[in-house]
Amino acid sequence: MYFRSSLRIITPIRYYLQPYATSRSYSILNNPYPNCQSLSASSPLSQPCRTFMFWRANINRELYGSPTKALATKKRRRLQKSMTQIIREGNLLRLFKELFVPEISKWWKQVQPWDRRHEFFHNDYLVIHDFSNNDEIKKWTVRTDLDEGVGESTAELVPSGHGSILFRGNISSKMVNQNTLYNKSGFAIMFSERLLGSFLMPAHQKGWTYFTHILLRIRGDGRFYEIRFHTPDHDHHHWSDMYSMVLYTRGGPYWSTAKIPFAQFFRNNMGRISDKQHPFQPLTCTQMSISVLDAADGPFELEIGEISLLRDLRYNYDKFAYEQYTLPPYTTTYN
Amino acid sequence: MLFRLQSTLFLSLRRLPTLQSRIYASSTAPRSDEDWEQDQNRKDKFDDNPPENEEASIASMIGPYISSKQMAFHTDQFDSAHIRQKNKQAFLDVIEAYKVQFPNRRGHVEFIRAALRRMPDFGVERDAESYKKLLSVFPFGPYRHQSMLQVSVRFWPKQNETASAIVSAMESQGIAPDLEVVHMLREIFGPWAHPVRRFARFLYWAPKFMNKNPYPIPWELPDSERALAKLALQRMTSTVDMETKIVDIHSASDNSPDVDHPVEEHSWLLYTHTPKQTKLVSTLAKDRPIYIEGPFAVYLRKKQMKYFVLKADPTEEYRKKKQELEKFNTDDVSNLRSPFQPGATLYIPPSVHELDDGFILSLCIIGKPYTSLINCWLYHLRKHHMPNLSQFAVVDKTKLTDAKQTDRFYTSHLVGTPEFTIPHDTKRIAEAPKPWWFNDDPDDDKTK
Repeated sequence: MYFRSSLRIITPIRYYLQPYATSRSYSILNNPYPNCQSLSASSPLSQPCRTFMFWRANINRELYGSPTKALATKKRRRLQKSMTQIIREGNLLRLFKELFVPEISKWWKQVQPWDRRHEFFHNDYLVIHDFSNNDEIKKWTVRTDLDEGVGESTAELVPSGHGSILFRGNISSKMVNQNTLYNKSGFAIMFSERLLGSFLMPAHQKGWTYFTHILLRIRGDGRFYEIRFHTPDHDHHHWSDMYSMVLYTRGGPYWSTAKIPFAQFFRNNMGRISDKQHPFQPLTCTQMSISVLDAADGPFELEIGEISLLRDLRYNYDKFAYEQYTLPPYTTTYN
Repeated sequence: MLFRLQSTLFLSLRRLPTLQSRIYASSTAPRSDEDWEQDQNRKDKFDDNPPENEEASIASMIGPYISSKQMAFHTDQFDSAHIRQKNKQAFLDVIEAYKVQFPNRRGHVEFIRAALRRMPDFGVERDAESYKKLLSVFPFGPYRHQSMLQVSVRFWPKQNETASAIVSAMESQGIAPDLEVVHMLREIFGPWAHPVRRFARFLYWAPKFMNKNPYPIPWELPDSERALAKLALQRMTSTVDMETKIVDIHSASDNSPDVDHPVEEHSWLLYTHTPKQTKLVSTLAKDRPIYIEGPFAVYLRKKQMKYFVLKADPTEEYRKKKQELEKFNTDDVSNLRSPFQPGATLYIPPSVHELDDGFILSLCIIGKPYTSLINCWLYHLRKHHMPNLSQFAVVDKTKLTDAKQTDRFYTSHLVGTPEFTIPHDTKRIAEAPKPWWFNDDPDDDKTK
């Protein structure tokens, strides 16, 4: 009961996806859940198996985005016709043509060799989020601990009148409900849209490869914010993997530019800094977010004019700012 | 009594992870911090409404449900009559008293949790020595791991978690990590245990982030609001314009008596000023007013200050200059001209204080938000730095009540515009068009 080494999945898995050997001795007697996949650190899982599991988790995550969306989505999904109904109506080919063929072609385009990319030169910058265009707000979502049921922070994302965006709200570190999976409260995060690839899986970010810095034109209030690039690998262990870096602001009405090299982003999993550090690969990034880092009670406001990527070849200090130590064996990351 | 034991036995026989895949909140489960305090007088709560159903009466007899993840703790000893003043020495004394009373360290985990919660009352949360004293409460020996298996299996979970909580409290308070703490943790839990590892991570990562701030704040902030205000103004303006001077009204030598000037010590005024801003004022048109906007918030770590801005509207020349600048292609070298040729004009770019939403003429932080102090600020500016200011009309756009500011968060002034209202997700999803592989909606009460 106190020793949880394996994760048990209750849903039955198709026969062709079951691993080759479940356990050495008396599988019927030992295996508490026959015909079910039991996962542990040593269970032999192939990459397609892992990808399938991630896909199963991810479609639910994609469809049921937030709790408010989930109920409406569930209601809507009940109206969907089942496969047998579609076949009886004679629409199977039509379903394939309309649903699966575009997905497959999207997937094929993703898999295509990506060496034919536009070359960028020194001091070239590409604006990825231009907030002078008011449609950009629709790509961003805001979540606070109020949404999770943990605290009482409020936040909103509002266009200011002069071509920028205001991320403002009030943070309170009071814990309202301790019956959740969070141990602290007092956070507010703005998420960008998630990059969708084929089959409801996250895609790879191909346009960012030649860039070395991220540039933000901001007007802050002296608080510490955090920029994160979410890189959920196609694996159930790394769904919350991200590369983050602190965004320091000075207060005041003057605009400041934060230029942060990709080499200074450290790897983060579930909000805790990982032990194994690797340089950030922009290819694996699917989503970007900015969050308030210090849980200081009080209102906060961050005004962002523009987010762009810069290629700066004069950054010669390092390829990666943190040491990439290998860990001794049996090192767990439990804090 | 048996009722409580029965539930734990029942749980231990079943396999937990499968059945507890969802956390159901029970009516008696603690929902917030207040529910954890066992020492409150519960009599006043139950006197008004006598419990009518059986469940509630049983709950009142047994007490709130204590899940195996959390513990109950009593904080009585921190409130005892022997403590005359709640300071650091008193805190250390309470810990010593516990050690003397329970030389076997009975119930030390709950005691440490209680102490961690009571630290802010004693004002000791930023003090490394008190954390070390707390760590010394752990007995040396029994919780030391004998093999890596014990570490991986998380033996002594509560003790390890409590030590991790101490380390996490130190991290969140920003206390500088110390090798002494590592040695203590190693002796108590062994070299590979989780609290040791957690503190090792803290030791490793803290120096990496210490010097990353491009706008650094001193490690120990001064206590007086005035010094903090000066720091805040320096931080806001020194990197923008090197010639900024921060003026403190009380330190000015000439105080004319005919000004409505508060002489009390607790009200002070600090403002910034640059020669560039004086030049700006002289170029401004006299018929347009100048605005005082504020109070806006600045944070110095966790301390918040409010500042006011003296602002003027951007002029047409500024907008033209900006447009020309944007059209100008810096990479184009075909038309290079020299400024030394006859007939050449030098292009002077707009100064740092000229922004798109206004020209900033001065920043100020006030001790107490009185309108008289704002007038004092203007008078001082007029007298010493910008004599032209008297020719302008000054419009006060300050929001002096804090309540108004918090109300603004959910009422955007753009609520009425249809293009910016993003309707709620449920409505959007319900009204999204349904493709042919959906059944028709059976709800007939919706009118199409």
